[in-house]
Amino acid sequence: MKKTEKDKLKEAFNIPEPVHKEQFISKYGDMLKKNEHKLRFSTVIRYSAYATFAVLIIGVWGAMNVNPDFADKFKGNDIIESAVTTSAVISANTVNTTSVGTNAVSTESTVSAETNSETKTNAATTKTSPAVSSLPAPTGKSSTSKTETTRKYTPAPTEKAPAIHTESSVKTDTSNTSARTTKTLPALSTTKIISTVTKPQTTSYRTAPASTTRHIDTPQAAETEANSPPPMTVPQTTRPQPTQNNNTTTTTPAEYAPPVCADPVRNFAVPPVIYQKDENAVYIYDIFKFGGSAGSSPPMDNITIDAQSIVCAEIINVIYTQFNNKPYTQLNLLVKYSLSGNIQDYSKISLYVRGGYMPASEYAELNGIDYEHETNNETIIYDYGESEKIFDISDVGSEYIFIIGYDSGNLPENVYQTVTDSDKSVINPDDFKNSFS
Amino acid sequence: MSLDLNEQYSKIYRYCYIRVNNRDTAEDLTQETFLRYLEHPKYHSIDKTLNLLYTIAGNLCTDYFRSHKSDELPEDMQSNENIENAVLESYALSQALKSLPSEDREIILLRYINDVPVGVIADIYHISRFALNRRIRKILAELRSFMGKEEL
Repeated sequence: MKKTEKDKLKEAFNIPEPVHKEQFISKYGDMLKKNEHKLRFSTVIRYSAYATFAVLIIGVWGAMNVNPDFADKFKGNDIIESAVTTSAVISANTVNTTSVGTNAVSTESTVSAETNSETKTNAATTKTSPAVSSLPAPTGKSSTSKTETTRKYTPAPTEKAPAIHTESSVKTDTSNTSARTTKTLPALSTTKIISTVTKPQTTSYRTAPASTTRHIDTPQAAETEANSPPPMTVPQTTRPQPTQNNNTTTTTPAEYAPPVCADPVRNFAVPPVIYQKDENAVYIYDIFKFGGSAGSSPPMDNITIDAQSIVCAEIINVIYTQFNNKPYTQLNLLVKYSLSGNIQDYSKISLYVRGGYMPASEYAELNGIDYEHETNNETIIYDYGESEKIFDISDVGSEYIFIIGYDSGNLPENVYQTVTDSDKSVINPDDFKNSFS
Repeated sequence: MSLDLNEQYSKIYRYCYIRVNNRDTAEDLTQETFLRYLEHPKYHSIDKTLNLLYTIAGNLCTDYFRSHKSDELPEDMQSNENIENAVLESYALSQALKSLPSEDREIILLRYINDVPVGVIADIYHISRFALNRRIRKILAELRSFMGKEEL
């Protein structure tokens, strides 16, 4: 549209001019200036806040990258186990070294003045070497040497562990790591402690008081030990010290070591004594005359009522030992699933089952029975209680339903016991199902 | 606001006047528009600024009509009918403008008197630019036909 036409339109609208235009514009100009000043101030405040927040974020991010400990607080790392070693040195140039069980932790602190240093090691499987961090030393304080080590998961006591001699070489994979693999099936231990020995001519059985531990020696070892005073304990030096790593270690066949156990809560129990199976063993009641009857087995329903737990487990090891002065078999089991009780699935337990092998003379001595046998050789007796079955190496790998009873109070640590001595406590899984049908 | 305050004041005033047909009311609404503009965030874009101003002015005029419903003709309208003070041609054009719907009159005012961009007018009236251009052409054609001329 042309300008002339616009002017005509403008004139046609006939809009009067405003009256208070100039007054308002002057006042409005002042208001605008004040408003802009306020806007500028608020803008400065706003951007200052943004900058401060950005600096804070960068600082936190930088601190997390520089200091791992600071980051762990936010990341929530799940450290399974930590061995804390605290050492304080009074004088200069002092070196402290501590070894903690299987995970050797060496702490060295060399200071020139009073120093308190704290080292922290993580024994979790995720770390192959302990992390050592030293804190700055406070000045003007005297300190005494003090070493404390704490370890949450320890292997089975080893000081009185008997040595096992087997004809066939046995390799035991031991892993004393405290790795927790609760829900994964650990590698089955290939340890078969007991091997069949046809004749005991090459071995000798030492007689010892019942309160002491027993072990079976090689002929060579028997000669050397003949002059040594009882009780015979396995020197700690002979026990292999696992290396400071998370890999499994292999011990020598002649030395007993606890089986592999990945469950940090429960390990297989170390039996007090280990006997060997003897194919020429004599039935106990053929040598020792006892009165009374064997008794009848309680019905299945009563057994399950008295049971602490009922589990289906696979036999890992078969160990002949003694308990309550009677031959017992220690079954090291891998629980497949739990039917009742609080035993967790895939946990490893040690179960005492009535029946096993032991020397007749030792049995007589433990039970206060006069014993005289015709043969000159030590006679091995066998006893199976009421079950008429003794587990042996052929049962390794088999699965059974085990009905476990409550602890009578005299069981060793980490050991369960069947609810009865009869064969009703160890059942074939198929028979177990049929018994309730 | 990067626009000229003096010029914008006149334009907003004209817009308010054509809506309310009263000078004093139009000035009050114009001043109120600018005061309310101060409370809103400032835009760097001129179009957004104009859109904001005209939106505020239009809402104020609508609120005024709701609160002041009157059947009386405004004084200015009566003065427009004074044949002695009006030029025949401009009178005819003004009559032609009066024959248009109020919204068409506003559009013509905004487009050709206040020189508001087509996009801003389209935003104010919530129509597309194409629809606005068609409407403007239609309005001009009606004006010409009313005046019996090819041009205004």
